[in-house]
Amino acid sequence: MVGKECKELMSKICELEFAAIDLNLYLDNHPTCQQAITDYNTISQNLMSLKKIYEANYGPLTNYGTCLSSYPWRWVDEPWPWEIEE
Amino acid sequence: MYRNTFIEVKYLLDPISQLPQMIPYAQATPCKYARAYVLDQPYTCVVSPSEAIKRGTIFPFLLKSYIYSLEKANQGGSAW
Amino acid sequence: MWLYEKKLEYPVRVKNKDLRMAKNIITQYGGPDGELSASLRYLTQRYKMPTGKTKALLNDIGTEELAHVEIVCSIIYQLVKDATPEELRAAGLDGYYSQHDNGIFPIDANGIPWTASYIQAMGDPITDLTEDMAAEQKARTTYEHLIALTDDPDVKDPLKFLWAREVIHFQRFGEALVDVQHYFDSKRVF
Repeated sequence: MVGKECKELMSKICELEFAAIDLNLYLDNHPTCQQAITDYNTISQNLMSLKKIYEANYGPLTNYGTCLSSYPWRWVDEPWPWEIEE
Repeated sequence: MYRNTFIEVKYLLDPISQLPQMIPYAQATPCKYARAYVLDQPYTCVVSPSEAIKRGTIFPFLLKSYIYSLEKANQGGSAW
Repeated sequence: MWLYEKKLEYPVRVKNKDLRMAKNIITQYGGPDGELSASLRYLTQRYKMPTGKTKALLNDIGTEELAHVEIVCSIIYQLVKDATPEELRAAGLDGYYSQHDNGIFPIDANGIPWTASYIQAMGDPITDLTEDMAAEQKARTTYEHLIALTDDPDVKDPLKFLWAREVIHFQRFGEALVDVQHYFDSKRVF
């Protein structure tokens, strides 16, 4: 069961990460756009802190040495992203 | 709990299309024959992250050329 | 190196089973203009891109397309979840069931399996970027066809998101093409 707070946090993470993706593609073509870099950095900062909160409470979003695990190994926790979360 | 300090660029929404009214004007560059060109996009009309994910981009004005097609499809038809 | 992130780029929550729609949408997994083709096309072409900017762009769009593969597969997974062989047969998916049960395999809407001949890497960045622009338009059109074939908002929603991404990628590849053309012109001036 996934709680309401967890879902809200994840949806905020999705929003920020998507904005970062779209800004990233813009910046690949426009690396000297200062305003876009500023926005990218602001969003990334917020995104990183939300991900930290999420991972501390609900388990790792990334593996391969990017996030610590409590016992037992939390990477195997379900659900996986393609499974319906009510 | 989650503070979002992203600064929104102010723009007016067109009441019908819900797209930014101010579509940025792109500068013309010297073109050559037998080449393809897409206008370089200025950094403007950026929407907030919460709106961006709903629209599929932080620059919804880029979608304007194809909105008609999407609307037709959405009604179960084809623009062609 | 790639890192997997245990989340979808866009949420998928399909409540109603719809096997026919799954059969249609699967083309955006394993079809010629699908997300798998898109991802591998750009990730393959990036080695011959002439500038840091264009290498970055193909790398990053190729990576985003992998997230789109996952979105498309999630829609299909949820549309066919718990389908019985009888239901699959009724939807014209008995051939699919024979080979794959209700697993998810990269084929197009007519059952043709994915093949590398859907993509190209010509080694000419102008040619490759022009292919990429066409690919984005073909994928956009496919999403419009799929949107026209369903009334389920749970399915339409992520399809519309993916539709918009095709338009944005087209814009980016177009900007990159103009940039590469300019880059070659400036290289020839001496």
